[in-house]
Amino acid sequence: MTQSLLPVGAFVWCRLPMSENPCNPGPKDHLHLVYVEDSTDDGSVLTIYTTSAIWEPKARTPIGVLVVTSELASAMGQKPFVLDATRIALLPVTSEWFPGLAEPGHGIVLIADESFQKKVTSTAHAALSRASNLEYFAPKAPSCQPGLTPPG
Amino acid sequence: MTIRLDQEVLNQARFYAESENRTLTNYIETLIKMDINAKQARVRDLSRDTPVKVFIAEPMTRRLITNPRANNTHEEVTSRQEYLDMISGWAK
Repeated sequence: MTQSLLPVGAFVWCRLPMSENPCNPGPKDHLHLVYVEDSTDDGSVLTIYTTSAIWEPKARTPIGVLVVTSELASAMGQKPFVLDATRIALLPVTSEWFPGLAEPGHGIVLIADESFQKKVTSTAHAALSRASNLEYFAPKAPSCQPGLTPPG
Repeated sequence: MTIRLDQEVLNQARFYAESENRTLTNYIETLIKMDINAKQARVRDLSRDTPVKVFIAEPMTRRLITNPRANNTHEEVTSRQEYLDMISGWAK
């Protein structure tokens, strides 16, 4: 069974697509988390969105969102961040989507430990359990050709 | 403050601003306020289901199979597989 260059739990530089342009990589590199490797394709990985934008301090956290506090983040050598499991993408493991792939570390900044991965699993399942619907975009669909802007 | 917009986006923004009897500045500010309000409402209203944005081909014509690593427990692999099945429409 082929192992992806990007293992589960890896925080990796990625160009997660924007909802208004789901066929193409997003405009900027951001760190996102590899949650699942798909073994049936050419090594696609399912990534979960993260952002360093701080959640409103007094606001309760929505279902499917994991706020990683300063304490936990610093233990991982990171600044505080938010993991949003309501925004996920199955992406081919190519330099187009993972710009650091050809570099020695493949663009991986760190690999989360088992404890954090369990938090992610809990958050990801919670997101799906509360989702009234799934809004599908399709970066791998046949209609998504390179450079094609999908109808709005 | 100066912002740079794609020419086609700017043309359409001007068209819709005019169609709503707004200035271009007011049109853009209104759009920004709508987005801010939507994001704040999402944080406030936890009873509302949040759509999960899934960037994946749909419907999936094949089942996605999670790739286990040597140190993964059976429970973890099963959990990830259940997740894949749910997002790809293969959950029973």
